[in-house]
Amino acid sequence: MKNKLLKMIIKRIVQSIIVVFVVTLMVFLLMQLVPGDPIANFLGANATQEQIEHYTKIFGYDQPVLIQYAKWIQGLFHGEMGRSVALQKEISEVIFQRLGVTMSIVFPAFILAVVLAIILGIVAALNRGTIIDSAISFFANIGMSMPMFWFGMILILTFGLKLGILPTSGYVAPKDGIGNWLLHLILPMTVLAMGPLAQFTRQTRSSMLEVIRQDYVTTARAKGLKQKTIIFRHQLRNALIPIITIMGVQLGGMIGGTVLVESIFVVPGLGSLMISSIQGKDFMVVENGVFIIAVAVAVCNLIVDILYGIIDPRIRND
Amino acid sequence: MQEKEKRRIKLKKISNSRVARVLLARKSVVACLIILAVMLIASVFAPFVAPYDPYKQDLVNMLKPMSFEHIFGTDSMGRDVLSRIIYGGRVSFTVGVVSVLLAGSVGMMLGLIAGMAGGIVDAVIMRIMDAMMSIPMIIMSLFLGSIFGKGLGNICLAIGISMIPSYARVTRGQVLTVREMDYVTAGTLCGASKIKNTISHILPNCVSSNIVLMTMNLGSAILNEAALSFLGMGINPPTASWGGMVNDGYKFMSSNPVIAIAPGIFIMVVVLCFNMVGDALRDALDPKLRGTLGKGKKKKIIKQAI
Repeated sequence: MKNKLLKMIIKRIVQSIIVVFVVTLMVFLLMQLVPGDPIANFLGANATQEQIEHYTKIFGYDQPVLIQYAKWIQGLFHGEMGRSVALQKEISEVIFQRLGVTMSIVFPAFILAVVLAIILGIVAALNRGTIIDSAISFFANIGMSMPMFWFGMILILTFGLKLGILPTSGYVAPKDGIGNWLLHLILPMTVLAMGPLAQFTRQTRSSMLEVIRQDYVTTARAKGLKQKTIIFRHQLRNALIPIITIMGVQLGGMIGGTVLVESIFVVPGLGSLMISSIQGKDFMVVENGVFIIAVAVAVCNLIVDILYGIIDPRIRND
Repeated sequence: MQEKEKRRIKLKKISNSRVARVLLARKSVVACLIILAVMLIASVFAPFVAPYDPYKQDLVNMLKPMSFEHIFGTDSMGRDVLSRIIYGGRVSFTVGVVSVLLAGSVGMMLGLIAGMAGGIVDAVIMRIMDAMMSIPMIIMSLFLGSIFGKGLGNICLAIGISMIPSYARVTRGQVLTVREMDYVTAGTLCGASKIKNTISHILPNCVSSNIVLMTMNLGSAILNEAALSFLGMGINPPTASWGGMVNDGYKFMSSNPVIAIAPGIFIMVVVLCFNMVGDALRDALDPKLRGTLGKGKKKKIIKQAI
């Protein structure tokens, strides 16, 4: 049994490596489509020909495309992503520092979404057809349809400008005080968690309802088990499987969603770095940023897949 | 032959009306369809519906609060917010429909090719799709948008491309199931070529699940466009777009919040309606419920479906 699980994990790791490799190739080729010379784009209209040539040589843009790609990949293996012209810093240093900030919002938001969604989903399924169920479903539908940036704005208006109880922008590192960090995290985390919370709630509700009709639940009930045992041991455990499937997708979506959250709440994370780099035409940072996001999503999906294999024995026996 | 054709048309009519019956049985879906129709008509006929010119600046009347004259007030350039919302609908609906059609058609084609060809072609197509899926949709459309540039056409292209993988995956999955069916084998035995079999037997069976996905993705595409425009990387100002309007109004949030809140409500309502119609369509096309809608059972089954 353990061997099979190990085999599945190795297979998934190999698949993830292939996906990440294809991402590098795709991103690199797409970057070649950027109109104009990247150095001329960056230096602007006032740059002299000598300046353009000088920087083109420094950044290696004078070399053939294949060599440029090979050099980039070689650098990635050594943890080097080159130097940003705009930031005057090593790209890897900036990206990893920003990634830490981004993940410190994504993970708490994810946990908040999962825990709340499971509770709401179970409550809705157990009260099917009642006003509670309708209210939860309505809330989930609204949560899925709300533009994230707009919701963030409403929260800023309510809790920041009108009530004045929560900070509306900025980020405090955990080392500068956990309390202050959490206080700054409440609004961005709520905004980021909203969409996934709605999705997970709907999924929990529908898979709980599907499981309720199963024979093993009837058997458990006939055996005279307590309602609590039936819900948690027999229903929720089986209902969790489809929820875990969408967790991977949603976690990826949340990493993407930080682009919006960070720009509304002025958080110096990877998302806001991407926006400023796109605006400043610093495409080397964009290229590496997309790569790191793809790796982060691949790792999250890998964890979810492994979790899936542990929870559902049928998967690893496939 | 004629008899057979008549029977086919009759069967199609029955199945279509069944879908319509299940859809229209939900009051919420009917309400959503009416709301969408009204909004669509208003944005198509915007020049006749909008009370003011959405681009006419009137600096004397800037940042006016809600009134009978200007229902949602005026923005920082004195332009009527309601008129801009009505015009902004054009951008949202266009981006939604064009990008979804682009993603649907290309994705279905890639899924069909991957599923039918198998081997190395399948592996190459699907690994590219996996790679595209590992980049979150908003990042992918931002990245593509930064390459293609701003503007309506480029945004449709960027959002459309970022949605292709889901269609390719769904279609490939369907193809792998359908191609093992007896009627496909029968087609082959009758001498139908692989292409003929794919077009007449396999493709029609992949359409319904893709239509459901398309309806659901309309909302995502609109949200994505709004997000890109909010970030200043979507539609070029002064063209009215809902996301761009929220961004413009954001600066006046404390003094005149309605400028930013009103377009956001419109985005939410349209996306909500598309999501609800998509959900209902998915249930209506569910094969588990097919053929079960007899006269007596109709109400009960529809109730269960809901």
